[in-house]
Amino acid sequence: MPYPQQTLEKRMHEAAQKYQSGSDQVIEEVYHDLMPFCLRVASRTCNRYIDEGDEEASIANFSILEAFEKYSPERGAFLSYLGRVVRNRIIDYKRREKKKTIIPISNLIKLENIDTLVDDTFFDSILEDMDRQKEIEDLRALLDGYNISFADLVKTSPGHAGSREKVRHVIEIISSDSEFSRQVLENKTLPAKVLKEQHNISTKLLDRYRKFIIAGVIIIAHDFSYLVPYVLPSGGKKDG
Amino acid sequence: MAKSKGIILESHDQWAIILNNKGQYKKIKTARPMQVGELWYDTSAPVKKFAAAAAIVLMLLGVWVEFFSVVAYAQVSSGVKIGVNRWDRVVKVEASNAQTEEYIEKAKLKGKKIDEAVEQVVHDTIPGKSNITNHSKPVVTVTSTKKNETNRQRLIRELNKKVQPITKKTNSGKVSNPQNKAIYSKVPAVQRSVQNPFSVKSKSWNQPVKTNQVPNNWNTPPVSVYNSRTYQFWGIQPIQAQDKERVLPEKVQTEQDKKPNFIPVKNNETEKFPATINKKHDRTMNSPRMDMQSKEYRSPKVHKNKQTNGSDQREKYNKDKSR
Repeated sequence: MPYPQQTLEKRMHEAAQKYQSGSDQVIEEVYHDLMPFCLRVASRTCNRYIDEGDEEASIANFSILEAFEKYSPERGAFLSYLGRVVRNRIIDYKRREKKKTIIPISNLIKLENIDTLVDDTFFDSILEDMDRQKEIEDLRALLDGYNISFADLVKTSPGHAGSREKVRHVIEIISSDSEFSRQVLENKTLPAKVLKEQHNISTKLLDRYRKFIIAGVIIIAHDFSYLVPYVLPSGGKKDG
Repeated sequence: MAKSKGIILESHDQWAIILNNKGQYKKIKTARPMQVGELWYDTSAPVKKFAAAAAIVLMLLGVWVEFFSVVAYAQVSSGVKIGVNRWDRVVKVEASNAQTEEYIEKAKLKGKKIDEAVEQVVHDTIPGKSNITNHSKPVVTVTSTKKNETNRQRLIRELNKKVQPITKKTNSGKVSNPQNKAIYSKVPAVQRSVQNPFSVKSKSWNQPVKTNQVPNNWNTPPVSVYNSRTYQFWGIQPIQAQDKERVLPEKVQTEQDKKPNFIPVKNNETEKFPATINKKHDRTMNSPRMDMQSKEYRSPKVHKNKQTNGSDQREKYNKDKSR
């Protein structure tokens, strides 16, 4: 799935049409797909992390309903429309809070910079973030199978630019050869012997950065489109 | 400048794990909680780089300022005043009159090592050779702007090495140390005028001097350490007057002692250089320092004898000079 956000957009578009034609259950079906997006919009708007128990989350819930009711195709993409609704409702809520006598000072300060209009790139970037998050969660699940956590990768990352480039080269070799990558993905081992014989890569390097190499191969093999550019060697060797 | 950027892989309260654009997995500190999948931009790197650059600039500035700050002056009697920085480089040259100013412009002393510069000045302004000075012999005075006595003593030592070979023929020049007046006055006049045989040996002396004495250690502590008692303690041997020029008649010395052979320092002149601690010059300034003397010097007895037939010596000396 190269563009998950587009498929989501399509689904939501259909769901909105269904809802307006009278089937209420549609919202319950798509609710779990929409909520992360709404929460992200809310947290961007408030500039802090918002989780489902927060008051802003319940505002987001109402906003979803409102968006489904009022949406029409000439208003643009459904998701950015929904995002705008969520954002506006949260800003309204903040303004109402402001009129109350007791307000935390932090709210006052934040209101200054949220009361600005945003364009669609704001919501696009949120959608992109969500796609990235999905990729990262998939990657984490895959790495769990190898008993590798992100913290392990931090520890084993090659710090020196030269060695990093070498290791990235190894990743490129493995993932460009289908036999090698099959061995990594199925047997969960590195083809150390063959690499040493054919490409003159020392076992020490492979052993030291084993986890880093496996993570890189997985990212390329599963074609995580957002993560791949971070893994491939930077020295102008990008093919395709 | 490529900014460091990355994707948040794992988010926690105060920190997060990112995959940055160098392909590194890194743990970073975050001010606000980030969400997984968000892009992260490094904002601290330019600040750090700026701070490092500023520190380097400040350091260079400090060195620059320090380079041009004068810590000591060496004043040659011909009227050239040379300011020297802490690395013994000439950074300031002052002239007492128009003639010397002209000379200074030609000489290009700035940036040279102090000993080279003084050597050059003394060499160029030897009486008779140049018309800049009308004094009988060059005298170099070292004054320190800071109260940095050890540095001044070291400068004197170094300058003596250079100045002596040039000036010996004219029976002149010593780097003098006005603060050691008291000690010099204890040393008999004749002995003061004797050259250091080692400096004689080392440079431009036509005939090699045969010396059988223990080499004078140049690393001996400054002259102020010695007093007349330690002087007596040394084995003082009678001088072997092989060379006429090396035996310097005391008459010449006394003549020069009578008239000032340096630029007389007026009171208002000293105020021009408020940093100098140079008081009035006196005759001891023309005399060698004790640590420049070797053990070849005459004993007090010999000295007395010499004084008796000093007139002969003076005539001989004058003959040599006129030749």
